Amino acid sequence: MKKTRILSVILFVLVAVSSQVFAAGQKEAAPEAPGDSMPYKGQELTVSMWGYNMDLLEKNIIKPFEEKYGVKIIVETGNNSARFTKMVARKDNPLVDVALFAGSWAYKAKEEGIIKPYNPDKLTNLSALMENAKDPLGGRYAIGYTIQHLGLFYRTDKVAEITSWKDLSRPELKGVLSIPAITTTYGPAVIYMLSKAWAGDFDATDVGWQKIEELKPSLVTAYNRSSELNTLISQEEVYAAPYSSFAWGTILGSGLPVANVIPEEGLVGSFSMVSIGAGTKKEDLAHLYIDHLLSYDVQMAEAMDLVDSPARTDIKLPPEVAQNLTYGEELISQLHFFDHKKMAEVQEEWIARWNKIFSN
Amino acid sequence: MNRLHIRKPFALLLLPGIIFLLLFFIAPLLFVLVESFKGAVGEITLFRYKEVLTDSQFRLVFVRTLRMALIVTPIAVLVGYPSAYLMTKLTTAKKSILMSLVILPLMTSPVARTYAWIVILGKYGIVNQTLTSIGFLKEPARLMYTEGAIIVGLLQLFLPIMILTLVSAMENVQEEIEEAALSLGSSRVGCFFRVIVPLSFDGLLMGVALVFTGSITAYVTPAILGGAKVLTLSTLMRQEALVLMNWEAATVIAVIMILTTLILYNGLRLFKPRTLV
Repeated sequence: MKKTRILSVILFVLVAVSSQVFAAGQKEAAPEAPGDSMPYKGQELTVSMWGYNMDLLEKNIIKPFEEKYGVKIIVETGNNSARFTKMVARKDNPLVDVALFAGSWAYKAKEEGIIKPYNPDKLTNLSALMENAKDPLGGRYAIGYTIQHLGLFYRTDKVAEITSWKDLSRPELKGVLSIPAITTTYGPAVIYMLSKAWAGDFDATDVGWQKIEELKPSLVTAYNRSSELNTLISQEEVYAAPYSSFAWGTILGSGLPVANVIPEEGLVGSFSMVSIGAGTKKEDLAHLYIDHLLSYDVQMAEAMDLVDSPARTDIKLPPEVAQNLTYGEELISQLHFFDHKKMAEVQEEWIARWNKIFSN
Repeated sequence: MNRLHIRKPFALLLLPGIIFLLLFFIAPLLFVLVESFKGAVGEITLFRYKEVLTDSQFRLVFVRTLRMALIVTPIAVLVGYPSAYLMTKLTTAKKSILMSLVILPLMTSPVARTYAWIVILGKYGIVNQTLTSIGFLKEPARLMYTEGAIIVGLLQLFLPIMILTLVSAMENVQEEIEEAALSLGSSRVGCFFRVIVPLSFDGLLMGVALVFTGSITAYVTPAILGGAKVLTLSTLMRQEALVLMNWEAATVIAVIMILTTLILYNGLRLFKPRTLV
């Protein structure tokens, strides 16, 4: 009898605690009050995004939106793969209303059915974007809200000027070079650029792979995250490397003499994309958030803080800011945008190939 | 041997812990195990194991991970045993100071702790600067992104665990037994190996199991100190699961990791010396 009573008390406590825990995660959206100046007030919107430069993203994007619409933004941060995996795992019970992915991951998200097409009529700022940012995946599954590129930097005090992707093979860079690992957004792009540089053709990838193998002894490491590259640069381990443009502000912040270049073969361009989460019950609010992300004020603020380069064509930046972003006709005309479908198709084979080279 | 008898109603206090473990540890573990044997249409198959085990890349990474764990564990025992023994012989005040020092690294974030190694082992880090200034090296050596760097990082990570486990085991060895051995003519070294070690063997076994398991499964340390050039089982598993979305292969790797640690743990138990009491 006594045993049963104790057991009941414990079970009651467990059930009570767990119901509170789970209830907190499934808070219902407050009903919209008709005629209210803040029709979405009190609602929550879940945005899956990167955590890099989070303080600036809070200041430029999240806080202004929350204040303007009385909405609480719940952010789910992580790199592309971790967030993608979570969304796939919760496909039947989706939590994410707006998802931000880099190019190839946005393509995978489309294929996997975790994002859905947007309605252009609900986005007042769409027309202000670069033409190729409006629908990079086709089918209106994503919008390129910021343009980026894979730049090439070198230490001006240690290394002679780099003018070509071929220069990465210079003997003076032995032991002081790094490249993005194959599993990163720009990893496969390096293979394409080396193929272009050494064989004159992006698709002659066997040549690109041969060059990667030759570069292996020169590499300090192949980095998995931009923050890793930043550490390598500030510790003076790396004198030259291809870098993601959004990290340029931090690289400059190291105080070391660095310069970025546009090599003769050009650079790699890409869009970070924003999409509506499939299965969202807050489609209007999600569109409102995306429109906010594309607005003049947000795009300008992000650019001025060197976080994201504008996808809008009407943003005019002062030269000292512009030179640190993916901005201006001269640079953007030199960018190559690779086919995400093609990259997704070869991904598995390329990762195996990479592992084989680097694990021996 | 006396056993502690717990009155039945109080045994119910174990229930929340048991439920938690069942829900969040045993059930997912069984799920992983079952999934690893499932084929494309739900049939039971060993196909996935065959696929992973015959992959030369996997074998290379497996051997490397095992090798590192087999280096880290004995070093942790060799360094940990004398330290733990000494700590049990100290006064309470001195012992708590040393215990705090041992626990301190465990209270630091593994990421921060591992990044500190970049500063120490980097090209212009403390180690290279010292070795070049005394003329031992002409140029800074490559220490980061090597197996050596991972081994050093793992040792820092797991040595405190080994010491804590051993201290707790040695504290249970009655001082009278040690005194009896000494008074019967045993040397201090002989007493250590023939009395202290056998009596604290359970702690040693637990320490070895924790350090070995931890070294096999650690992710942050190999990921940061080894980088993309030195893959281990855990970084390979992450790649399979989170980059290639190949959950099947990741599941098989997880099961192989668990089996490896279980085999070692039970293998070690066979070597347990006869207890004196």
